Amino acid sequence: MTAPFFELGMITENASLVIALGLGVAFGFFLERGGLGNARKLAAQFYLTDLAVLKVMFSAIVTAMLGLFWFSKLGLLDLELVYVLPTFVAPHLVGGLVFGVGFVMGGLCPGTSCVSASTGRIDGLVLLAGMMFGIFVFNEAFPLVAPFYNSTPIGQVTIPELFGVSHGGVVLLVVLGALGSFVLAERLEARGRARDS
Amino acid sequence: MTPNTLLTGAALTLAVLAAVAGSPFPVDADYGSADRGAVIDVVDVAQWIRDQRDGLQIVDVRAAQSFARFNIPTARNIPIAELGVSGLDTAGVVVVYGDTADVEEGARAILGALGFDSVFVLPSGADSWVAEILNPMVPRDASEAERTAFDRVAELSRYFGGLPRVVDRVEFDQSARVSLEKTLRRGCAF
Amino acid sequence: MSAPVISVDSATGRSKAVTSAQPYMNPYMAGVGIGVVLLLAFLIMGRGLGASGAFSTVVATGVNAVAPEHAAQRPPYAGYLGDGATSPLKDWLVFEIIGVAIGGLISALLAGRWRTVIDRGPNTTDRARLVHAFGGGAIMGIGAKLARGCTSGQALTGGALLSVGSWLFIIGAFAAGYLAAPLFKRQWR
Repeated sequence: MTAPFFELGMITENASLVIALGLGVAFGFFLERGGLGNARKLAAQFYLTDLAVLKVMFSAIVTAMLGLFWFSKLGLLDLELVYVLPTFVAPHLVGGLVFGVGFVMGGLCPGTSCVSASTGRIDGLVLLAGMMFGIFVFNEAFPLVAPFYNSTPIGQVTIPELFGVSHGGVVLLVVLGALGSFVLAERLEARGRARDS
Repeated sequence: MTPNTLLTGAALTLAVLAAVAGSPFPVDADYGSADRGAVIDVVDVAQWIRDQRDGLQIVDVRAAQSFARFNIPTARNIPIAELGVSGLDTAGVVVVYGDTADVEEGARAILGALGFDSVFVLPSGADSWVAEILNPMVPRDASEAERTAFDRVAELSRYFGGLPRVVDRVEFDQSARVSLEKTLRRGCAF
Repeated sequence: MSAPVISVDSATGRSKAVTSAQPYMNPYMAGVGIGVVLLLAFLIMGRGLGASGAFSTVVATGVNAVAPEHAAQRPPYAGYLGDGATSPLKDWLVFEIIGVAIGGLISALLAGRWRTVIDRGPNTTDRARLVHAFGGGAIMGIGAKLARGCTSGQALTGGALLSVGSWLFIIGAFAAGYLAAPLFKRQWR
């Protein structure tokens, strides 16, 4: 196995921070390239007029997912050493629901709000401030939230493991689902354009 | 051919091949730094079983009665005398366990002679499985590192229907062993 | 080809259709680009990308500066502050998020898309937009803490790893977004 390099002791702590910066630059670059630094474009996702968010997100997920599978299969990556966040069923689902409301209300997510703010958008800055306030509120209220926050853990589980199905099979399903959603997205956008013109 | 068509084609191809491949782990996996004939840890075996690693074969060389009473999931019961005619895949990885170290060592030697490249011994495999996978324990005042290690085992434990527990003290005479009886009868009303 | 971007001139309050100096990149290609970056993170670091975690660190650092005793004994803060030997801001996600800002800036400058503006729909005011931005941000902050991540950490990273919790997050976020969209229509259309 040749990767992950950091986990195998090949990269120093300081080097890893430089790498973080580099990866971040590339990440932010592509986000802006795709137009995800603009709140209006992001929010349009939820009104079915511009589905760039869906296209960018799922293209990224599919790319990385296929990369993980094949690098591991070809013996270039030790999948065991890649950290999978533990699943807490209720907090993950409820957190997602809450996040979604905030997303359509604010029009940006944490990562894209950075891009928005750094490209001159005042709303991006304000959203960042709001987010930190929300984090602060959560932390202060933590004793109350802790029982829910720590509830329903099922450990570090992946979908293939949970359903006892083949990993490759799930990969195919996700790719088919993503491609299907892209076709749908193109149709919806075309219909929107025809309607507006 | 537009970029989108190219991307779609590439994604579909890779995905279909992935589905055919099934497991994301290499066939001739480097199963860690252990050499052939080395001793393996039961937690690693549990992880391999769960990951459905290609070519993994667990062999239980104990008496049929012991095997029927309890065996490691996916293990095959093959008496030592029949190892040569068992139809095991010599290219795969064999994890063998039995009752005593002598028996296990004997089995390992025979498998090596039969041309198996990758053989690991899991000492007292059945007992280790019951103790460490089905009944893992960690003391309440464990360190961060111990806790992290325990979490990983606990997750595997739950997958195999075990019962991980945080206890006040891990009793040394019990030494994290719950008797096979209790484990087998867990969930029964009697 | 994407539709012209409509932005609102803060000075006059009038919306104008402004064709971006450069059209946006093919979103699928941008997505693949991000996917490659994410894959590199896995290959080099054994971890994925993230965003909200960096802001948790910043908040913790801020609280620690103002009220250290409070920060020390409240669990969520303590986790982000480390042992006090090095600055908590010397953190992987913090450096990554700084990079995100820089990368976005570079791309915008190259494309002529840098603009001091407030992105909003034509039927709302700057002020209402900013109030919604703050409120939406706060709600997302809470959601991200509950789910232990946001769209970068959970959706992208966890999604690629096929983690159950992450996919629950994705489904929840998209569902809630679509369901709550009518409430905020005035903001965007």
